[in-house]
Amino acid sequence: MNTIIVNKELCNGCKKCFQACFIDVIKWDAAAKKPIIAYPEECVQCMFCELNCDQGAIKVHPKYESYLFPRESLV
Amino acid sequence: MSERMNTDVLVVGGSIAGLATAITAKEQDPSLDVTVVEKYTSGYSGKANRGAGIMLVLGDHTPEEFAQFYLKHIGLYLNNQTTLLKYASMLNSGAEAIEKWSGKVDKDENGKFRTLKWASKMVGKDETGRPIWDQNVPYPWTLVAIDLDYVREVRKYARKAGVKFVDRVGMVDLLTDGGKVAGMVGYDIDSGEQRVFGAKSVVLACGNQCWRVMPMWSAARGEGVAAAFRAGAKFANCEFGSFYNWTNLDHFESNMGVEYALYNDKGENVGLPLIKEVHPDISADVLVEWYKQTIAGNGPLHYRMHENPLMPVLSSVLGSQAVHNRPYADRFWGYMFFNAFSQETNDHVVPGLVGEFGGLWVDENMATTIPGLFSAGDLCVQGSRAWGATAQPGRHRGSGIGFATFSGRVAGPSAAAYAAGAQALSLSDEQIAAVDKRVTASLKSSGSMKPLEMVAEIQKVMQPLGNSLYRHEDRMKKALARVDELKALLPRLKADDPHQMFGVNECEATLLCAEMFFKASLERKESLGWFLREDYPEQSPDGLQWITVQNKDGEVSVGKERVPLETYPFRP
Repeated sequence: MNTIIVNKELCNGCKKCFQACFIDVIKWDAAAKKPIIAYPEECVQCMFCELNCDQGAIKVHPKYESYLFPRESLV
Repeated sequence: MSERMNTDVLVVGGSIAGLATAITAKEQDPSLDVTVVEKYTSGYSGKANRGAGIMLVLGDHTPEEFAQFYLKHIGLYLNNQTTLLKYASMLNSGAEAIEKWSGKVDKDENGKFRTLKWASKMVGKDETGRPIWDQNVPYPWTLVAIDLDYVREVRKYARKAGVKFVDRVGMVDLLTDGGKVAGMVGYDIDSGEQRVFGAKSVVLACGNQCWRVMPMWSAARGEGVAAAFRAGAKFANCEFGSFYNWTNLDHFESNMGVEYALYNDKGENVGLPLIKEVHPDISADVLVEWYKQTIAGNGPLHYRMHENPLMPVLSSVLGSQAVHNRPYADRFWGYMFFNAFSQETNDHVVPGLVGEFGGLWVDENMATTIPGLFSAGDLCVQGSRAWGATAQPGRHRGSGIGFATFSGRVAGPSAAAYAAGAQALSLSDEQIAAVDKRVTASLKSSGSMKPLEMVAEIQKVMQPLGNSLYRHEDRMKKALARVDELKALLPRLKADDPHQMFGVNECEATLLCAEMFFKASLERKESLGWFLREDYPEQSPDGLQWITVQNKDGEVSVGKERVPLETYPFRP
């Protein structure tokens, strides 16, 4: 699965990564004011969390070989 | 007791179609309460900000020129020409509307929208290094470019205009009263709490079904299709919901223009001979050729990207400031697209199912067949029948934002006018309890199957080209039988939290969509445009007909309606 890393020193709790995720991979820890990478196995590497983080505090490392795709069911 | 909220106009879905709807509903009648409910976060959700960011406009061409070209080369007269002409006549003003709503549409030094036609040829560069284009191409439309943060900006505009927003609540079913829409039931995707909305009119703008195969389209999981079907709405052109892009198994991002440079393993160009004189976009015939070559043992198929004549346009428009000034889009394509393409280890190319299955029937005012229920965006593209015999994006790129903006600007005033003349209806506790029982069953299930395991099984039915594009009765019946087997497994799906509860609801919606797709496909016994059958290779002599789908006593019921060509301005 993709690796999504949050730098908790750089993260200022702005919530943009959580808002930017269009398929609920990222949840929000309201008490800690930090994102929770809850469902990394569902991430489709759209990169919107990384793109929208003004702090440069979140990075996505796609692992394309584990992307859920029916490789044996093409024809 | 769930939390209840009343509004006049309820818009389900907060991407560009929903926002266009909400803004224009509020503009039409500022006294109305207009509320957008979004499963994720409006402004970031949906597909409209994750694509090329190009939007179709007519430029100097007339709606009639556009319609005549479109009918002849793309829609093949399976169109509702009234809606097609209305769509065409509102494209230029759609780009102006996005700019008015604070979206950044790229402009030239004279303050005019900078346009570039699809398939233009680069003929040189000016003294500043900008490309010079020969735009003498046979398509009566052109494209503008919008920076991809526009949906977020349009949301801000909508909020200032008085539109209310409820984020993180996903719709699971509509509520009706006496055959009219009365509201909807949703759940908070974080807490799982039920949220019930009463409304005088409802607009479904929550996207279509893309089978969760290709990455950019992953969020389109068909809940709007399923809710409208269960409420009794009519559908049409469902059999066209199987768009494919070309992709590479190293990264799953899309290639455009592959048909110009598609080679079999013997080194023969097998795409170019099939491209007709006018080739507006990806060819279903070439996709079928990929299938035939693969079956014949001539694979893998290779894509010689350097021979693709579209590359100058693609590489200049996307992720480059060479043509358009779009800093956010440039970063997006830089982060995502070029990283993906850098992973390629070979030139093999395969079809990747995009889908774009919608089909919710709407008239030219975006009204569905249920009083008070309207639609906008991808969910009703095919059901509007504006585009005829083609898959979304309608073989004219830039049409996604074009149709979303058009249909939203029609649905908003329609829904506002309806709400202004309607009374609030009663919400049925019985209906709400039945929805709750259906949706929360997965939390109480004794099964152990996870939603993602079901997604993988559904993918295996929908992705094969021989099932979903180059169809045959035998293969479709087998696919339907497998869909039935998977439906029987639904009670074994287990959700541990609200996220997975939504996942199960999505799987149920996806299997319903699959059933609608194959049943409608079996009914069309011909090949027409994007719809191709191995067992019926010719167009039917019976005349042009729309295949309709509707809920009859809980079953998927298929019918036919003749296209009323005699009432339209243009004939084959």
